[in-house]
Amino acid sequence: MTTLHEVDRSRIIFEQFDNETVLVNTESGVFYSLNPTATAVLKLIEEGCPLDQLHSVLFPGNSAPSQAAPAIHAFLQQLLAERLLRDRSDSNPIAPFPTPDPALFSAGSAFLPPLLERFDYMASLMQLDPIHEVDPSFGWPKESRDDDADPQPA
Amino acid sequence: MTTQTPNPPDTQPSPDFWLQLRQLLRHTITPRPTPVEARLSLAAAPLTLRFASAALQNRILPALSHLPAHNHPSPDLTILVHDYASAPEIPALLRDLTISSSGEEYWVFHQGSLVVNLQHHGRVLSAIDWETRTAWWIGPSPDAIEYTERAHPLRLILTQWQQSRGCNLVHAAAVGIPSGCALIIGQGGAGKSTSALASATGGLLYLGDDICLVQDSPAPLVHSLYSSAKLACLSRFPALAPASVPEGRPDSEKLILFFHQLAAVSTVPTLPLRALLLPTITAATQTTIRPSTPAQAFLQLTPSCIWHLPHLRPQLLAAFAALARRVPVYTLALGCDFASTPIAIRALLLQLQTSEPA
Repeated sequence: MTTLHEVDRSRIIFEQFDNETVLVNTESGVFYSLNPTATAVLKLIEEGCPLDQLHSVLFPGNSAPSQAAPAIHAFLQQLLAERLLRDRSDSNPIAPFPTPDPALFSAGSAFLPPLLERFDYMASLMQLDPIHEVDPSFGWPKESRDDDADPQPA
Repeated sequence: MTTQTPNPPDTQPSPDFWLQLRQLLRHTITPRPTPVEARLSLAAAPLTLRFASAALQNRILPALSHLPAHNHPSPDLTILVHDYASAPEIPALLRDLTISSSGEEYWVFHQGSLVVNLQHHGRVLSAIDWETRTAWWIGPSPDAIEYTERAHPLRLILTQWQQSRGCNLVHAAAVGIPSGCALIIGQGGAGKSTSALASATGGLLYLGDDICLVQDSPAPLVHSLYSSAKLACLSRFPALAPASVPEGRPDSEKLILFFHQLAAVSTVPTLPLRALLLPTITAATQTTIRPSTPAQAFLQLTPSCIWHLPHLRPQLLAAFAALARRVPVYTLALGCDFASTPIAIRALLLQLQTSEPA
């Protein structure tokens, strides 16, 4: 059985703008920018293309430049390492897949390697998140004091 | 967007705490005299501020004094501003709380129609009662309001209220011409304030240098929230010196300026949003503008969601994405000649005005 993948929307906000994509991890605050090649690859994954068929769908008839396979492989490893994908519940490939943009993937075009750029500055802000919503039924939050395990009332 | 509460709650509030607080706010503090009143229109919604003392008014009102007045008989929100002298029951009720490790943190509790925010280790309480359209801000004293907070007073109440009306607070500057404005989005140090202040002193209309309200529907609008700006030093903008408030400034903080009485800066409450500008500092002499992409604008808007309640952040990100798709995006390549920045922005806004369908 082939494992299909999709963006893990339970944790990841997925916004596509023309040929660029931004992914936001709502738990960590890390966000990612995908260039047009990476966006096209992710689109295929979302369409139900198995990871091991991506290369042949993108470059039918062995038209791939030599650097394409390792670049796409590295990009997929990054997507998985960043936990941006999850297994799909359905496991049947949904071919035929849409034809990739020839400007990006045809034999005559210069290959732009897929790029997943990671941005941590909102994650840093979220570690210092100034707003804490509290369910009143849980009670008051405990004061944070690294040097004192048993905080005293102010 | 979900975040972890950093310190797990432990002690339980007394069973009738919320009832007591609601009773106090609604029936004890609300009827109390508030001798100073300001009626303002914020994002076209009538807002009434009632202060327990002139000293409180002097700390809070300057940043909002540029807003137009309203004479609506029933404002959309009334904020009652008190201190411990005028509302002594509140410190008595909050006395035993031990919360928050930092003065910058807010703890937000939702209790029926009441939203309660506690800040500064539980010493500052702000709350909104959605049923009575009343809000309260109660802090220890006028002098306890921190210097930097005077630039952005009542921020959490105003953010929560405006978000309920579809106006989202964004970390951005905004300047414009009568037909529309540009929202300048970027992280700290990207050049937002410098661009905004160069534009304001260069003849453009001013809506804010750090915080603005953005309304996406029906047409994108930017609303000015505060008349204030913050500057490390005045040497680049000597014309703004009369607006500066050096009194009480800690050495580590930027200087606060209020523009509501400064003839050199024209503040404006609202303008249509025509362009999103992403500033970047360059080595060039002249500032130039070139097209950028919606994805880049979304990347810069995303961190603004940190100022909103965590449970509202996913919908806020969707609103930011919609805005980035809807409004043209440009890179504002800042040159070292500050005077060229308003010229470039004005030219862009005029061009967009001309190209807009009639």
